Amino acid sequence: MVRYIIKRAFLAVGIIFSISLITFFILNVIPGDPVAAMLGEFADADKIAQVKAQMGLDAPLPVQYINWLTDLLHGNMGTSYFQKKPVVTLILQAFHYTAIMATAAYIVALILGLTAGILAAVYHDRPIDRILMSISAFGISAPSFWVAILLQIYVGLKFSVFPVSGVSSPVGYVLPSLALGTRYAASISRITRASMLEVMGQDFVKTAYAKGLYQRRIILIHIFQNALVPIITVIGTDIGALLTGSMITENVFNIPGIGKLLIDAIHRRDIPLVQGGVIYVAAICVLIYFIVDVLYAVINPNIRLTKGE
Amino acid sequence: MERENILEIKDLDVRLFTERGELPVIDRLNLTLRAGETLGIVGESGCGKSMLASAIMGLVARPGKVTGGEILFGRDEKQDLTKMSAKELRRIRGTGISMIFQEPMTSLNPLMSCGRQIVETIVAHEKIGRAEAKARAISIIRSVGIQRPEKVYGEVPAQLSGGMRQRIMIAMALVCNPELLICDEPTTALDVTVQAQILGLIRRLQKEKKTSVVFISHDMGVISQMADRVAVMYAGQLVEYAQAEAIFTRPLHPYTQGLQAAIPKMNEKKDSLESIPGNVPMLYELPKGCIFSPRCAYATDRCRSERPQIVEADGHRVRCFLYEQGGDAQRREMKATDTSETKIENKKKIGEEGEG
Repeated sequence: MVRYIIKRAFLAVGIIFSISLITFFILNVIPGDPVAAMLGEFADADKIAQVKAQMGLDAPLPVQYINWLTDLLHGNMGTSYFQKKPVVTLILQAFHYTAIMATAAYIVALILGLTAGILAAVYHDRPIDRILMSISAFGISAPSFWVAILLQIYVGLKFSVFPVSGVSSPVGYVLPSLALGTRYAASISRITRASMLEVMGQDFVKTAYAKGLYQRRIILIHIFQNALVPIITVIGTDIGALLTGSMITENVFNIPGIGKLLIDAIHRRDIPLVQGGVIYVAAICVLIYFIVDVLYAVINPNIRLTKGE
Repeated sequence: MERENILEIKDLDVRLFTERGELPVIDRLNLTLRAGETLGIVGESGCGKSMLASAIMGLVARPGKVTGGEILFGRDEKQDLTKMSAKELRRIRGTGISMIFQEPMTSLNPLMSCGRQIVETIVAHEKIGRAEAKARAISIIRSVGIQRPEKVYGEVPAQLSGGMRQRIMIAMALVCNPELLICDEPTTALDVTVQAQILGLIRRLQKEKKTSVVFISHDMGVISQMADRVAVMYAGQLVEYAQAEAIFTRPLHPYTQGLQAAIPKMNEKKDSLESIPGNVPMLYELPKGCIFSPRCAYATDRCRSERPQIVEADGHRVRCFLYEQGGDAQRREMKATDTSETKIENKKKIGEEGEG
């Protein structure tokens, strides 16, 4: 188990390193001069060169990369060209909003998705199953910005129960969480149902019935636990997507989260912020996949046994 | 002294509801099992043996359904298992009737330790403390012949060999002292030496716990070691039923004779193994007359047009026109027929398990 975790951890660090390398060089070879953009269209060449030298941008690319990487390891991602604040501070601020929204949305998604998926599997091929799966097909196909706008119009404006924009108070998170949560609920319910149906056909489920266990225990312990691996994979991917910012939903509800921060940074060629943002996104994804890998081993002792010691 | 019946199956009908229509998986089956005895059920794959086991357990799943008859279970006051509610059935499973399955590799929950799987069986039926349940689980693991039961208690199935897993299955089935144990091909997936050990174990525990056993197998050799009485099934019908000894020394039905002849004998040297020509008919294309007639060496026009009923003959119950008047006179030896279609049942060998 310990060896398994260490192996995964090394792999994770390696991936983040490669991503940092790739982003750094890509951002530096794409056309468009950030310094020129920063100084405005009337800046002359001398001025631009002077600023570049100040910022260390005249050094060869590999040197720039080493400098940037050294700073990164010290927790310094540079300063945003436009907001003139440390990139780390900006990302942490935005993360605060994104994290609250992601958590709220995913709680909605888990409750709705798992309940619907388990019910649909248990009542396989009966009306409940068909109704729930039609709703979830709808939920997956409906774009969340559209659901977001519907919620704004019908729940927000008509009944003015919840604010439609901004998160100055906690109730501001209600509509965005619902808009995002229902979409993820739909995908969780489908994978839960499919995965449980597959497990239900296995021999040990028959054994569990033959032992005279309560049906609730058979469904929640024997079947659900064995169905968990694919479900957790989907949950991991979803949480990764949520934490790296839901750009459109954040824009619709005007939430200053990661998604909005990065979109703005890209528009302004704010290279340090974009680089920092990409590293953040990569780190979150890698971290979540690492956690998912560890969870596989926790749930399934067989993974622990074969891949571990 | 006549022993009382623990299980009486009367006119049992089980059907599969499929796109091809209703298929009779079990057709008006009558069987009884006396307390403490072993009833062997033998037949080729697809003859309805496993469906019978499911029917007794109340586990016939869609698209199958018990459509008629009774399964009476119990010593004094017999209850009809086919009429029980889900709640009553749950209480009987594990405590009244238990079951061991064919595939020890897949019949245990791969994520749960063996000990916990036994403990949950006890807890489902009895009010019992955690420590006490654990102690009982360990003692039953020891009683199925497993060394160091405390260690195995905490291990998941993947850490055990096929034979060990089947021992755990047996321990789990017997932990609540059921009166009836159904063994559905319990040794088919095991290699021969392990098979002998498991059969010995089932016999020993049956004697100790005075359990009645329904033993299902396609293997006449295994049945001969286990059964007091034998029922031979063919395509969902009972074709012969008698004392085990009688079945093996004087098989009456041509199908039983064929099965008997197919057992390889140590003292005979032959180039090829005996077999019965043809296959079990598909349930959606059963012949109009006797279901065995297409493969039977004695089949007459009457056999091909009319279904024989069960008749008593020579202490056997047999479904064949040959014995209609009763008695021994018309019994014939079945001559070895065409052996070109020799099939050798490949026994799956269980490989070495991955070490932890």
